[in-house]
Amino acid sequence: MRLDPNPKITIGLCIGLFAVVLGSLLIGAYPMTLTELGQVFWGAFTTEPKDTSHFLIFNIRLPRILLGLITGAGLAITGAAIQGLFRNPLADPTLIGVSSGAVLFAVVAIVLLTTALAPIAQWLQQATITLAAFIGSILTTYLVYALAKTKQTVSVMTMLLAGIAISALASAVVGFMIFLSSEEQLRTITFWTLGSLSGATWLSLAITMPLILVGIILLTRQARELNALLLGEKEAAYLGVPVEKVKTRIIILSALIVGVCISQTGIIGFVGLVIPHFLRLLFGSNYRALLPLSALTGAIFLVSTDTLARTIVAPAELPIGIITAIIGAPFFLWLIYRTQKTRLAI
Amino acid sequence: MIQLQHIHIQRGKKVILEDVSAEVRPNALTVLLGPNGAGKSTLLEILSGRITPDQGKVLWENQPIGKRSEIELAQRRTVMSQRVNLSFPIGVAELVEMGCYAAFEETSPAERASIIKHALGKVGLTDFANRDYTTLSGGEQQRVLMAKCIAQLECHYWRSHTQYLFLDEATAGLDIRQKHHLLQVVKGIIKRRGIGVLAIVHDLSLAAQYADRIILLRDGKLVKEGEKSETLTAPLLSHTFSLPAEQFQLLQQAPALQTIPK
Repeated sequence: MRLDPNPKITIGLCIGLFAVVLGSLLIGAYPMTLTELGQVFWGAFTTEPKDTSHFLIFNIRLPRILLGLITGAGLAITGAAIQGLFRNPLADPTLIGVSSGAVLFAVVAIVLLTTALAPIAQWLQQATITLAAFIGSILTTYLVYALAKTKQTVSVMTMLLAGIAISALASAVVGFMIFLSSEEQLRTITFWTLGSLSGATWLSLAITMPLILVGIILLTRQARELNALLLGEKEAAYLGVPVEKVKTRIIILSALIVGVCISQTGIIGFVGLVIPHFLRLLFGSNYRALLPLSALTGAIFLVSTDTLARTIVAPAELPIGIITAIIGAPFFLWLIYRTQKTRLAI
Repeated sequence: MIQLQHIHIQRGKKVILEDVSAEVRPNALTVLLGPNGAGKSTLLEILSGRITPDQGKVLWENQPIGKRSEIELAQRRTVMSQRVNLSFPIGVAELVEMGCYAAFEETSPAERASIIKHALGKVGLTDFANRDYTTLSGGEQQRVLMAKCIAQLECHYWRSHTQYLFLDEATAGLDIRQKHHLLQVVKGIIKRRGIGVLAIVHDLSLAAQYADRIILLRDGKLVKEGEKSETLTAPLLSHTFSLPAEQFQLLQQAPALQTIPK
């Protein structure tokens, strides 16, 4: 009878994460050996003149890896939480339109920023886009939840349909942007729709990391409530869970994490769907274990897929959303098939 | 004791309960009987503090219940529902532990583990602790939910107020042997802990056998409330269920005729 996360699994995943980060620092268009990497890190603490490898590691690879780590953790933990809130295994920020809602607002913010608000400081612009994405994701989460919720359950059908509608609206706005945009802006738009970690800078990390970390920590504290919500809202209330408060808390935290992630990386689909399910199959659905393990595995997953994205067609790179979708979409189909067969959660 | 005084509640224009006064006493099993649509579930939800009536008083130990938080209510009463379907696999022990939610700060992991063990033992599922709830049969799932309720009660006996247990058609879907077993477990808890229990049961012979007190409800109105001997009579039942009195003649001898299956 085990009620708390198995420390061995957590330690194993931490080691895995460390290995993936190390690998990702070494691999790339310009491969490095472990000794070279050691020299770069050693060099950072001395006054020796900085060479290109130093620049590569500290200004390109490291921020990018950190961004991958934090967004992977954030997206996966949010996926787990939203599935619990909706009591449905098919809930995922991208599928139910939350990500699109965030993008919609972020795009509007970008349009405004590049025209009306252009003179304001760089970091303020960055913060405004993040804020807009957050508001977009919170509004869509609430909208989808309110639409899909019936007396006792949350209807999957409504949830996915609302997701389609919001995604359609978002893609219309993005399409309009494409129509207006120049060659260079087009690249930015691709970035939004397919996701990429290439925009990582220390400035963007300084804004996103604290927000996502706080979100993740607060979300892991809702584990017992999420467990109780597995039984349904009525049952959870009978157990003493302040259901309405908890729901609001989970929606705000999820929207915060997704919004912030998306404002930095664009839409990276399926992470929130695949990772929690993978862990559920292995270790069950106890949220006390599921939430922290999702964060760790999500980080490992996104750092490795990003390494793949920037190496397989080097020196060019693929949008990371393509790779996560190639892995995620078949998994999603399999999940629907399995759900149909076992008649779960319809 | 939980007392309802002149309860009135309506949804839109439809009156659900009209001038209902009833009580749930400690140390007794009160069975709520009535046809479908009589307002039994609504009455249970008012008694358990989940919904507030439009008019009338709800008193817990002679105090108006007022607006209590979920956690305060959970420390005083436990509710077992008819069926709970889960979308995700979860271990039986983990599910039973959820009963300890409202006492989580006050219990240690070791205490909770022993409560879980005790609760699973009570429903005869000791070996099921590590099983996945979603793979169990309907009857087994129902027993796990009972174990969760036992765990919740166990977590709060030390508090000064009486504990109450509500069974919202908890025996529905169980076979006859499981129904008896569940009610025997409940009777055992009443005997040991002196809790008050209100159960919605559809089976009149079960009510006849296990109830101490009966509340008869019809069309949102109270027909009769009182000891089993005064309430479980053919004329009253015939009025409650709109059936000819002959249908209930046998029932009055039923408790004597039936033996409890082991």
